[in-house]
Amino acid sequence: MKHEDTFFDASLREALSGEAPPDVLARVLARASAPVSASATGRSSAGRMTTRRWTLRALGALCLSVLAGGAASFAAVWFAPAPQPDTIEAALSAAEKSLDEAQARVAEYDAATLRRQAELERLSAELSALEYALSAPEEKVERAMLARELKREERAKEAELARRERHVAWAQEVSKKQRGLILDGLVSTVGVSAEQKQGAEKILDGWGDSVVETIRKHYPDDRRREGSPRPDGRGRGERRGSSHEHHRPDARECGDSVMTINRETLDSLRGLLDGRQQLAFDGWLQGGGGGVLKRGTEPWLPPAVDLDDVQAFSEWPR
Amino acid sequence: MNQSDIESLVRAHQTGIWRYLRALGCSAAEAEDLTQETFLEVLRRPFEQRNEKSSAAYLRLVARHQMLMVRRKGGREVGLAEVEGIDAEWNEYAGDDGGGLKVEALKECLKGLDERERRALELRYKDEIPREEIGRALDLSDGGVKNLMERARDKLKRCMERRLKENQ
Repeated sequence: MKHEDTFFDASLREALSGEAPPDVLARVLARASAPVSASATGRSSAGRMTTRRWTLRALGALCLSVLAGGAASFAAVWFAPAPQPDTIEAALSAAEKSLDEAQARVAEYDAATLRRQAELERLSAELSALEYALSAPEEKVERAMLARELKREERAKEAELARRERHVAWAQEVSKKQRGLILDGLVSTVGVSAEQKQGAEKILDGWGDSVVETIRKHYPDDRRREGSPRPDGRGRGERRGSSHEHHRPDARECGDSVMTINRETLDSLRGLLDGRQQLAFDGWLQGGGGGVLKRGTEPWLPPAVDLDDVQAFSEWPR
Repeated sequence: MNQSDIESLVRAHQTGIWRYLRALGCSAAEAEDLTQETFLEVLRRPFEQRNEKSSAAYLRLVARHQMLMVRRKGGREVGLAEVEGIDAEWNEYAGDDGGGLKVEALKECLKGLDERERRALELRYKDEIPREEIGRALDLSDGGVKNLMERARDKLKRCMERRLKENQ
């Protein structure tokens, strides 16, 4: 035991000193029945106290209570004894109940906070409406224009998202058709085995996915458009160049990425073949085989773009 | 609680509480005051005597709080780590009689010590004299006093345990 020596010393001290445990019964009974406690210790009630001493003590107690009132109250709360526990189960049950109550209080507090938040939002809306009603006509016009501009941008964004989805769907369709044509060419012209065909299928599946992903990634759907606030703080009139200039690098990057994927796919397909087949493969490509794998980025342009329509092409992929 | 209940509660537990407070380091007078305060504090709240053990444990808890409160009020810092877990140990040490049997056994065992050992322990535990002064009184070095008292305490512990076993 950690404190065994301390306890033994206490017993030894009692045995050696001959001190006997006191009988406090009479004093406890007297103080328990008294309407107001006579003194802090109760022992003073047994003795006689002079008026002067009593006055001094009362004044002292008054001063002390004023000075240490807050600290004493805190200490009383802090060290207040816990309710009398009968068993561990009873103590646990009490703790559980206390926890439930605390949780209920927290939930109530949360609900009150939400109510206040809703009230705050309502007041804020009312304030805005009031502010608008009191504002000058010029300001009202400015606000109306701003609202119209925001609405227009929102519509443009929605249109562009729809455009992207159409483009992606179209690219998937193209890659699917081209996959079948390329596999036919590899079997009929290059003469690949069944096992090589399986490998080629896997490579072409990966190619289709990569192309579609690249188109989706480079589509500037999440870019800020002209007129809308920018993260760098630039506002209207401070934008960098025109929207067309802003988006062109994305189109170029997208084209470059697609070309890189095509080249890598061709290399992978060539890697499946033996020397004789590779010669046939190269001849097939030179003779116009390989479909879009061999060609530039044009096949991946969206179907809505007419290459003869300069305006439509310059606007893609806005 | 009626008066008879209060009387039986105080009679049954006052010695145990006083000894417990002494073991926590209170002086005899302080332990006496706090024993009173403990019962009064308990009587201010609804209290039901269920069994002796649970009542004793509850009274010790209140006594410990009283002691900590008084010490804090008096500006004397008490580390909670010092008294944490002490109650269970005290319960194990003191047993059902609040340590009374051990004190009685020790009184008997003290008679078995030689004069020098007994004198050293009296100076230390009864008169509360520092070890250096005990050394001067008994013409011993500081280490000599320490060894003498350790031997005496060991003797007493063995004797006390033997007597308690015999009485069981």
